[in-house]
Amino acid sequence: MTCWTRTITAWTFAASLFLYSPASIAVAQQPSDPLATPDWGDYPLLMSQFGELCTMCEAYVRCTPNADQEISSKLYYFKNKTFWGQVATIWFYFAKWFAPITNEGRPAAIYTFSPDSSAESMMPAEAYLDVAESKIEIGGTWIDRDTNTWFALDNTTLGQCVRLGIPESMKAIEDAAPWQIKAKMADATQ
Amino acid sequence: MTDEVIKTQKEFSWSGAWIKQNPLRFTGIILNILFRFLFGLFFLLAGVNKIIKGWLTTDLLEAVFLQRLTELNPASFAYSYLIEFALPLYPLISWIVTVGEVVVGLGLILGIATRLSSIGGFFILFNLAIGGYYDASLLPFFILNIIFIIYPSGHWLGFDGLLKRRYPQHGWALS
Repeated sequence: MTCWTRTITAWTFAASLFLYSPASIAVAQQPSDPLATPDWGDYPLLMSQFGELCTMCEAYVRCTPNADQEISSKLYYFKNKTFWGQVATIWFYFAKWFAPITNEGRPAAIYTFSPDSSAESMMPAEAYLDVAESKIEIGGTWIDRDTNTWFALDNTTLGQCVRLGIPESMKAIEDAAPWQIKAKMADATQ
Repeated sequence: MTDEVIKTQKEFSWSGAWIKQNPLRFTGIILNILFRFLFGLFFLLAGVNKIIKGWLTTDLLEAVFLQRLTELNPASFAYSYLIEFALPLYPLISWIVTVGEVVVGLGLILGIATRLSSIGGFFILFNLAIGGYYDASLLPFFILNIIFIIYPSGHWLGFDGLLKRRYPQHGWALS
């Protein structure tokens, strides 16, 4: 073995030790139950300490109707921004010094659940997140981001919403969705 | 470096006669300078913002990574990158990203070691992209980085030309 080979091997071994010893600490930081709903903190719906739902972030919000409402519960899936929506964030970064951006649109999907929690349908939609008015408009309804109350567009109270974790949402859809819904899901996420 | 680039570098002058004779090249150089300033400003402000928010003195980046984990598919490469590399080394990464953004930003704005600054910027962006923070807004930045590496941008309204004359032995970095 040449001097150079020995040196490179020694450095690779040292680097591996350096990287993998703290890696075990990080693995221990993962939540023990990956399907548990994360603690979203005391922020408006789909916001966090780092601001509005980020460009490449996805989120699931489940809305359950009140007992007096004869409607199905919905699972709203907020997707990444579109390609040009992502590119436009550079412009928004500079523009916000002159005029703050107060709302944004992003693609979404609406899963409708029957009372036995089986998914009945999935349809694509466009969602509007409004920071100034603290509301989300989607599928002919809107959600108050401060109280998580779910409203019809005529301001009739429909129910209450809660943000779910991604793994638990995916599992809920997978468990409930019949095969044709799963196929549509695959199309929608492409 | 291509002959074309060397030619552009040697020939360019701020004189009215050169500008009149080379309107297209002049437009390209002005756009290059403009984007270099905006890119540099973007990075500098991002770095300063991180310093103000305490990235160098608190565990904020750890919270950022932990939040991002809740938004990523556990089967994705980005998830593994965060768990196995970024989270364990978050204090080091805080420093590299924050200081890196400030240095790259200043380098691009002032045109000092512009090529090295661009390589630094590319490195930061590349790690952002594979670490779960990729989005299409990074593409223009990657393209600009490559342009700043190829062309002698630091010679146009920058200090690289001056430094190159004083330290000619540093070759490509200041060329």
